[in-house]
Amino acid sequence: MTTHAATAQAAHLGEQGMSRGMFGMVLFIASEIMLFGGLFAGYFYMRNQAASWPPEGVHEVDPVTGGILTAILVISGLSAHMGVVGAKAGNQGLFIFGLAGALLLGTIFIGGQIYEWFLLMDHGLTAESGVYGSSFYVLTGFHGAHVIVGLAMLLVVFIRGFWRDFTPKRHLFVDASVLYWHFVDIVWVFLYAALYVLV
Amino acid sequence: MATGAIARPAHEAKEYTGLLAWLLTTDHKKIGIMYLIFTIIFFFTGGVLALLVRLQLAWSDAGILSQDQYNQFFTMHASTMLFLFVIPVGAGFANYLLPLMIGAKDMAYPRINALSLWLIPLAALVMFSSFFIEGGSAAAGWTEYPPLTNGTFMPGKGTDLWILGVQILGISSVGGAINFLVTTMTMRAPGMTLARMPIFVWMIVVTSVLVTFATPVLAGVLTMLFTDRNVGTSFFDPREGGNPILWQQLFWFYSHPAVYIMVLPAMGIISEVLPVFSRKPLFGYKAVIYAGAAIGVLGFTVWMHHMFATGLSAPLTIWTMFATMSIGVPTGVKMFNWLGTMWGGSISLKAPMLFAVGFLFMFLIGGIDGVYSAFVPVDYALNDTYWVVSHIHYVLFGGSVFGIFAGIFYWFPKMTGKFLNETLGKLQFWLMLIGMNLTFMPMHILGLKGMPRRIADYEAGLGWEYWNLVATIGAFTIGVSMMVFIANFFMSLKTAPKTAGDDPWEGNTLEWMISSPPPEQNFDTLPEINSERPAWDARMQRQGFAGRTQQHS
Repeated sequence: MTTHAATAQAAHLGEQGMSRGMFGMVLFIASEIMLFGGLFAGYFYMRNQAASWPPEGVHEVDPVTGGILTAILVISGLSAHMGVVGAKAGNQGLFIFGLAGALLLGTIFIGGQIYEWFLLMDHGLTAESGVYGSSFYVLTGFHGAHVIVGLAMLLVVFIRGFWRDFTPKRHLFVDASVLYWHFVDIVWVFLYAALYVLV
Repeated sequence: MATGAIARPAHEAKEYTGLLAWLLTTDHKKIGIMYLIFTIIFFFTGGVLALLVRLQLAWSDAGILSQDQYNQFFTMHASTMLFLFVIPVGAGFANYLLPLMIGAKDMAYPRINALSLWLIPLAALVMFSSFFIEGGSAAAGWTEYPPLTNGTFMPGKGTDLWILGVQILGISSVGGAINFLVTTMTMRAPGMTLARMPIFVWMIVVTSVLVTFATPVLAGVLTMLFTDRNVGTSFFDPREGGNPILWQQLFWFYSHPAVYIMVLPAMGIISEVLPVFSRKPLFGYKAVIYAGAAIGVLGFTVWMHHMFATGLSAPLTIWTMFATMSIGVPTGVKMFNWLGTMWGGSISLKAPMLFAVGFLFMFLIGGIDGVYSAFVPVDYALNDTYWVVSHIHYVLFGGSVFGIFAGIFYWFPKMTGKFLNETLGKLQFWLMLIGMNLTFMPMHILGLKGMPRRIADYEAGLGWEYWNLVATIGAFTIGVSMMVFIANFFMSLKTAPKTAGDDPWEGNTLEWMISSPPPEQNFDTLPEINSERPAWDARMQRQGFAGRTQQHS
């Protein structure tokens, strides 16, 4: 009987194109897309059955505030991408700069969203203000929780990178975390379109 | 690259002994066995609840349970069986078997695997703790339809604990599913092409895709219910612009694919058992895979057949009806594949085979009355009657549970080196088969006689007493069959000699080529894989036959 050494398995892995860690992250993001897909479906379901949208008498969210938040998060995504480029090229300065920028802007985004929530509550829009308020707070809240998870991942990347834990050949954790960050960005763009802009 | 931070191999972990070796393990075999033990304990817990429910319904005005207790027990019976038993038990088998069957040394992410396991008892604690708080457990049925589950009608915290428990189980399932998919796609041994993978692995792949894409939707809608109950949102409150039908849409978008999550692993198990005990290759290997994948895809399109009575628009209703019936086609293909496998084979009716054949008969009944109920006018008549309860039990008990016991009897020798007692196994099978037909066949009749489901009591003189008593006798017969299993399990584990050897059944798949139980690292050397039956090929070669399984590539 012909046998292969068990170590042949390791070599075999390279043939699959995508590394194991990255594949898992892609599947995780796919399941997250379904999570937001379900929430969006619920939102549009209620929106479609409403007589008017936004319903009579509720305080509307402000597309300008949302637009500023969108810009902050998109720039943070670009900054995180710079971090990946830095990690791939072994450029520690670019890596640190990119990651720090993404972390800072992400934190500002969360702060800005909390500030916006308080502002809207002052104007009388709460989670109890019918389906308009319900969907706004639950969707942005869900997304905010994902931003916080993404920030935690970027923070680990930053700390590990700061101690030079990544090399141009070995930076899977950077790639996977930043991919997740991009996902969080993109979901926000759709959320912005659906919740703030679409009339 | 592949040895990045997330995927550090398990064997770097420190060696522990005794109980700690189990509690802290990342070994897929130990994790798989613990999955099976936990889930079977939950199976018995759910079974006890079912017996109490049946006892209450045995006679009109039985007075054994209060209405509140009844509502809690039938709700927790279903929730336990679905979320704590039948879904994770498939992951348990997959944990133990999938890496062995594809020639891998462990799962892709061993530590996430351990996390998926330990979230299950945590979720069980959360869900069962609700029995001890004011207001008791969730009590609106496992489907938890609003407005019944809103804060006004269900003020107790039991529903919230139920939501939390199901959320935790969802995280466990998705973690497990991603793990299975990545393991299958990146860790197969050389020669183990996709078209040579055992059917069980294929069915786990399909199941995992369903879990990955359906479960998150449930997480979203559960959160909406939670905020409706606790934060004052109004997703399901029509007074504030919400709609309770939205719950049904999103809930069934998950829960219909979920029934395939519950049955596909069992279909995988019997697809391994039937060829071995018929001494023939599986008839139509690729057809079984395509049919399984088709069931998975179609499973995402038919959830609205649970909602015909809500007044969907006519085109949606008609479309859903035809899509539902079309699932009968790939299921029928599988049925013929299994029958074709047995046809002309030299069948040996050992316990695993008995359970697999039992699956075929019982699942057939469940499948036929499923297609029948998909007819919109039939559904209007039978909706929310005992007919539905009967259908789901023929599919999930007659299907999944028989498949699971086929798997337990088939792989117990691999896991322990010992056989389960054959005579007791056969006794259990016949008691189970008779018991389940006594329990669930009368429910068809009760459904046709108009008995609604989820009622704690019924008036005498409606023609329901006789069949209810029969059903209860059947349920206790199933209970006795489970006692036989428990006795068999402990006796065999304690007293049976280690006579199983590496390959007690002359199996087809890789796990039969290593010792029982398998060594820590599974494979020291990987065997040659030239077909979907590598163990058969090697046996033939050993016995001097040149023939090989016909290749599919």
